[in-house]
Amino acid sequence: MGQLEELRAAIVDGQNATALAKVSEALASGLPPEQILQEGLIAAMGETGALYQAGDIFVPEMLVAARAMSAALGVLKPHLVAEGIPSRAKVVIGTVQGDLHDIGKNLVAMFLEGNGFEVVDLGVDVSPARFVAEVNNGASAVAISALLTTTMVNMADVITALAEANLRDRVRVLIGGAPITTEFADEIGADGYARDASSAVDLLCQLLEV
Amino acid sequence: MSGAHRREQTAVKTAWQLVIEVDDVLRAQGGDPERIRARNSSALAVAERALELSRSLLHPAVAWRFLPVVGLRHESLLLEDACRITGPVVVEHLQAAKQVVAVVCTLGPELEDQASALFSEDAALAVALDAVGSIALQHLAHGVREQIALRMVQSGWQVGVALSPGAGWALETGQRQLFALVEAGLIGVQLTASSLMQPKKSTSFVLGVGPDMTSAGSPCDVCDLGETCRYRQLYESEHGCDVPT
Repeated sequence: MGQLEELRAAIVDGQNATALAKVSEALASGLPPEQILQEGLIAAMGETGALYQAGDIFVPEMLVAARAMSAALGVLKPHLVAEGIPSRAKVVIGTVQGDLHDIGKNLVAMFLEGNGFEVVDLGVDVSPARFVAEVNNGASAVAISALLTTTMVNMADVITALAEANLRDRVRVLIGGAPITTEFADEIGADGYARDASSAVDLLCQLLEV
Repeated sequence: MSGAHRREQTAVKTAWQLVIEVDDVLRAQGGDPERIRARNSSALAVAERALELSRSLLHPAVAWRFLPVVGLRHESLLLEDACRITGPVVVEHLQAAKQVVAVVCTLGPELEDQASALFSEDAALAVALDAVGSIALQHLAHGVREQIALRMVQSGWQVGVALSPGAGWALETGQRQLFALVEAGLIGVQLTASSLMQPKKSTSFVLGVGPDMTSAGSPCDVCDLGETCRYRQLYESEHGCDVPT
């Protein structure tokens, strides 16, 4: 098994210490950081996501894989920055105004980061104006989370605010959370709905063609 | 009704025994404990660690109050002390009640604060800890209902389905009305401007009690989340039946 295959396997199995050792070994052996990112980390998360979506692994297993990926990314990141490797795209993420729940949103942020996106996490109870400001700062996608039927309606305000700022055409809007459906996403004019963190990555890659 | 009177009428209990197993933590995250045990020691270790960590972070507390029903008018259930709760779901499910029990349960802020703080360093542990909180809250709510049902046994009364604001009963109206009945501040629970409870690991509901109440049915029958609810999907796939009252 090659170095990157071993790294990939360690991440998929959620073996933190092994993943850290393998990414350090790969760097020490002179492999380009971008190759380690693409063929090690992103490939591992792709495999993990596919296993989860096929029902072959469960959320706790996906999470330990994501944790291992995140740890490996921590080692790799300074090298990616030093070499000026661009991110796939900049995404601004937050929990909609009025809602304080953050676990799902945090997971999506972590998965996006692990898949090569630059993520600006605005936290919880985020006003439409703050999303708009980050789009003005170069974000090409907005990801909004809501856990409650009473707060999910506030997602429409973000889309309206983007339209009013003449930004709607240059940004993709992705929504998610327990009460959200594809029908609701269509109704408020979002570009898509993702049911979990792994699907959010796939959908964003499709929407942004990255 | 004065706040002082509401405080006097509100009972508080903080001594609750919550029995949670590692398998519960895995199940609450949608996992099959048997398969995870067989193949992923890392995921199992995280669930074990979360459970261990939660021991000092869980501070269960319940505030509740019994209020006699004095009448029914249109979509309002009239209660003593000039209190009322309103809505079609309320009337449909509580019209046979002789009394209403307003309940607020919480685990306190420590567990959720720790889960948020942990996220950046160990997301898997943070999510598992959050899952422990979800199960603990569910057990606490079931424990309260069981205790109330036990109190009703002697008089031959039944306890109806739990109605929660946001689950069939309009969230903002329901929370304001429920928090006007019971002094949730006694257990440290407050409402935000958007009617969410803080600490987040809190739940609120009303129960109807009386000789003609039925305990049949499920909270899911009236909940807006319907088929999109992960908890419902999980419960039904695991138990092969509806979420109980």
